[in-house]
Amino acid sequence: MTIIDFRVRPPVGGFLKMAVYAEAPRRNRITRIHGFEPAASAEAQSMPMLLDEMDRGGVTMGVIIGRNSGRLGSIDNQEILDIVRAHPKRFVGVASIDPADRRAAVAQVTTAMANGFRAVNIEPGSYAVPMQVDDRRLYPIYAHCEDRQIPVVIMAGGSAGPDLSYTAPKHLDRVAADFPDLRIVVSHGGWPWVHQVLHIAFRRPNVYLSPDQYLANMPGMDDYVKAADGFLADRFLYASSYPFTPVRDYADWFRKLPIRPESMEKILYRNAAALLRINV
Amino acid sequence: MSVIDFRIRPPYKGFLDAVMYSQPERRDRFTRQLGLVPSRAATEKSCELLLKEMDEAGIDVGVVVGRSPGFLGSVPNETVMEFVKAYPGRFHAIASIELGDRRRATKEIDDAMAAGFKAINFEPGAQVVPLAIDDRKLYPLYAHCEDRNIPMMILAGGNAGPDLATTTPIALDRVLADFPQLKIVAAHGGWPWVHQVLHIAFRHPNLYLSPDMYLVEMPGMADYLKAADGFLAERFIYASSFPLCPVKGYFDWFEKLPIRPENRERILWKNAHEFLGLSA
Repeated sequence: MTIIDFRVRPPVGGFLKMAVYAEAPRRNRITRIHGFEPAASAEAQSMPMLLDEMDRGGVTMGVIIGRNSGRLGSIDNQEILDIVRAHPKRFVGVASIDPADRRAAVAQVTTAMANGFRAVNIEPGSYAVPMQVDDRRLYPIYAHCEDRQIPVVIMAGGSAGPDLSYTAPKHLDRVAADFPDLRIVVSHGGWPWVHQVLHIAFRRPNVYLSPDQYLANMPGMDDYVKAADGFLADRFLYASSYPFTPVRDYADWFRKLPIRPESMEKILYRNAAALLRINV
Repeated sequence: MSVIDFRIRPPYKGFLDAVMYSQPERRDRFTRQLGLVPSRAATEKSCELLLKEMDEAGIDVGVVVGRSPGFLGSVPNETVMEFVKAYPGRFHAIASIELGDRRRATKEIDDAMAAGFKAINFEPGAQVVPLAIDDRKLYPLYAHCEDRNIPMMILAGGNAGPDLATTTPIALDRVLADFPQLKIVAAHGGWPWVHQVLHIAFRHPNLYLSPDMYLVEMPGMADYLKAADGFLAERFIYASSFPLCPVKGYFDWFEKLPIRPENRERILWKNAHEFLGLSA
């Protein structure tokens, strides 16, 4: 079966300087909390091994999401472009922006989309000066993307900001309401605000959830899975968060979840393919 | 010497439904509180008398601002343009925008500028659902105007909203900082936050103040005047707020203020002329 993995950080270039690779013991501890053993490719920092694990897991494509963060480090969009161009059939890119200057951010969006990026990633709580998801300064950028039908990935879950308030779903709720035609992918799925974010997804048809690693054996998992096989089947996106979980083992684990085949097919690739305009 | 009166509400169509004409005793009480005598053009609701009064005072041009629906009444932009066209060369029009729906508001702005309006007016606190001046929903609209060099008027002073919080200069300060190229004139001059708004004007070169009727013998007058004849000489804009002040009575009163001739010329004409982009 075809799979699009919506969150993969391959072991190359700038990613190796980020905590996910530079602090392997911490990463592996998290991997084991999720119930997996660390991927051999992550330990060896080997791209060929990752591609092999993807093949074995049936993962056709990985979505590489950039990062522009004071706290979590940065990956230049050009680096992602280089990876995508080196492996055009295996990866697509989501570009990150620096929201500090509105006009520069809009120019970054335009350049990125012209270069083949499929969406824009915004991580409000992780910027050098953390913002809430509904910070007024982000609104012109959201408007720009809405007007051009550019999907936006917003990190609104997990350790997205300095404290729990940065993932509070009311901020996401406002953005989803104020830009009803903006398709928003919530990376880390709004976790741990599981019930609240599921309410928002129920209420706002422009919200997609991708709980990725925070799905795996975490509090709220059963509610996510029930929604994924129910009202959210068209807007749930599969993602491993590799290297936090291994691409292959995560895929094997996910396929065993109690989700009906027709929903599973949407979650594993149809939803992401339609959203990112990928032909698989 | 040429004079532009930056705030005139003529006794014409929709304006007549607003409290300034529908409750003449309230208006005249206000006028007398300021130490001025009500204008005959106001009491007789006569546009011809208004023009005559302008001529007598030496006011070449008046600026007429529309009003989108809310607790202050409603004057459609079409009415304003119709009036301005009826007296060629004597008035400029500023369009008011209904702020609820971003895309509709953006279109209203573009349509108005194409139709010959010289600037765009926001009255966030006076909307059916009142908004703060720095409400996130307004940010794409400010960005739109900044990108197109459209000068803006914001009702930021006096009875601009349901309570004093509406006029707090903190909100204005943020907008000025976030859109440094957006020229904003604060109608009613940020009154009664005189010291605070003067601080903001000192800090942000994109802010213009037009305290209009709230200048006349009101608390803070001496500070406004000192600024007008000092650091704010290039960004202070003369306005009577007719019919709450008589066009000629206000002018005669203004003539006696301790402002040096070179600054007087700027305040009475040149600042408004440049602000509205009439020099080109």
